[in-house]
Amino acid sequence: MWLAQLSVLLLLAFVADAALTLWRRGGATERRRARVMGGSLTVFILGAGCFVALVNEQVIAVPYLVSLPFLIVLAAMGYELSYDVLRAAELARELRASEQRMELAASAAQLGLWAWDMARDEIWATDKARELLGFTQSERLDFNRFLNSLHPADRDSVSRAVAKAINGEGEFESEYRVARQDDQTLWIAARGRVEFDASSKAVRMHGVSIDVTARKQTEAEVQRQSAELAHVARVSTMGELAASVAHELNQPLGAILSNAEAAEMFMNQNPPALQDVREILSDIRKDDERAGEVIRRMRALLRKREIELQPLDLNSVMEDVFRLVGGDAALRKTAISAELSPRLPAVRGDRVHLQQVLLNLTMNALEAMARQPPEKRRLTVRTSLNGNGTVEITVTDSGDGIEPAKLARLFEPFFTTKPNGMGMGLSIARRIVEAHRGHISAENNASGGATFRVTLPVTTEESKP
Amino acid sequence: MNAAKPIVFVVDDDASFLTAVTRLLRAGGYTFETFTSATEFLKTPPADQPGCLIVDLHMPGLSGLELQEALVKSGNSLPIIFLTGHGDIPTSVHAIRQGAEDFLTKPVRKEQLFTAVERALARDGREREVRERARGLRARFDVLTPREREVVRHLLRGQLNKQVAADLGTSERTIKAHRANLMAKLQVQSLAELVRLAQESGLFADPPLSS
Repeated sequence: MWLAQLSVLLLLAFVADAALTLWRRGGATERRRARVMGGSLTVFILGAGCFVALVNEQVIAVPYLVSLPFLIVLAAMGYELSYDVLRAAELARELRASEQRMELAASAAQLGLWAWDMARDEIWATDKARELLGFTQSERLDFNRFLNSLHPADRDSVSRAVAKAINGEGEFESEYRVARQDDQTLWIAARGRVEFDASSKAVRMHGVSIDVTARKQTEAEVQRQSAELAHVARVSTMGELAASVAHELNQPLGAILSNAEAAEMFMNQNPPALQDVREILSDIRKDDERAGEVIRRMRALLRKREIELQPLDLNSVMEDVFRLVGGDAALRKTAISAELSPRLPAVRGDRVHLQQVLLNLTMNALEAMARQPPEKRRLTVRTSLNGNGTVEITVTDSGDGIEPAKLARLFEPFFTTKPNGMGMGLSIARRIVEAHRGHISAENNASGGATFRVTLPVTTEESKP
Repeated sequence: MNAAKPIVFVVDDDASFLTAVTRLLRAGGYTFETFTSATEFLKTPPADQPGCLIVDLHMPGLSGLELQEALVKSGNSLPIIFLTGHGDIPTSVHAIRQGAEDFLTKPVRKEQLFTAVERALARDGREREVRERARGLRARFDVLTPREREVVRHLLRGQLNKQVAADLGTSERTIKAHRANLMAKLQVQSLAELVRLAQESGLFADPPLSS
């Protein structure tokens, strides 16, 4: 008897504790639920207890009212259940509305939304996102299908950007081309964020994509125009170098002709001087390669082309420049000294365009010293690695230097310090250097003359194109 | 030829071209010496060696023109053939004015080169002969006394004995005696012969002949 009453009391304590915990935990809904559940269970237990007592005392006959507390509890629980169902429906409606609002906003902004479930390798994407990538509304998307829809040249960089986001930063950002079935190539800019689970394993990435083709076209047009301008400047530079280039080219050509004629004479001797002829043939081949090299360097400079960034050894660019201006420097009786750092990391650069910049600086320096007596003409070119992950090239002359007032305007278009200069060289040089994410500056030396300084960032493997 | 065999000196900073040209010269039967810079050549300039010089115009350090200048200054009259990868008119004019024998552009055909070398060697030979002869003549004039040389100078101006005597403040007879002596020493028969000899020797070139 006592045992039964004790167990009822324990049950009550448990219910009260559970209700209290629920109450403490949650907001308004949880509190109300705690009230309803706790209350109804208390009523049920108390009712059941009283009922048992009444039956025991034989005040009432046995089974009649058994269902009464149950009914109360069922009613309360049924109420709660239907409330949950209604609430779920409401949530679903709200979600749909919010989704619609999102899609409206997204489609108004031409944004494609997407989410990539990495565990199942499934990509959910809005209609707009599918349209951008050239997929139909219903086909199933996974990462590989996404990757294959990209321009082949961009696949690596996108994969790298995704891997980088998953393995660390959590932020994904990339621009890539999509070659669609309709033969249209779109430029897409995409950003995403990775969700990690408790063990910091990437589980999902969601993000947006937008069509940036128009912007890219404008950029390309600007780039094309500046490439055009740079090309014109290069051609005119080559004009200035014509004498030196002709000299450089005629050197091997002259050797080839003389060698060939000497060979003819050796062959006509009796007996023919075959050993001489053999040596001559090998020399002719070498000189032919030398002439070809001169032409290759010139053609590279004269070709019209846009900037293409590739890992590049600046020392070798500088050596090409020395070969191009070597003849000119000799004509101008100027000594060039090169202090090229032997351990120079590669930069991301375009050989021809950087060659143009360095050629321009070198020729300016040669010109700046024209009024100095020959023994004072000294051109020094240095390459070095800076601490902050940049490579630096300096071109130092021993000329008159630059008027301080003109120093600041040196890189402006149409600004020139030369009597018959156009004022294009340095402004084009700056544009090229900036397209390499580098920096160009000029200063006067304490010991006279001027120094031009170009810094370019060192290439890193994972850097984005 | 009588004296030493002429040598073709070649100065060019381009090793490959230098080899090629000397092969050609060797096949053509010439004797040659090569130098890779003007400075190297000037270190030991050939003294009184018949020959000619083939020089590249544009070289680092001393250029071809400067080499020419240095030679002219030192009285070395070796004929110079300039070779250049790129010839501009002002430079060639300047070089020719300074007495360059020829001005060739690379690539140069062997006929052109050999013709130029032949012409240069011929000129060198000719000039050498003239100089040789002049030297001999000068030796003959060396035996004259200063007074006799003075008389020659006046005779070369076309003066008569009387005028010479008046100018030198002496008698016509004395001048006559001087004249007979010097003509005997120089082994000439007539005044005309004396004049030719004096001109060839180059000794009396400085005073103007007229007036």
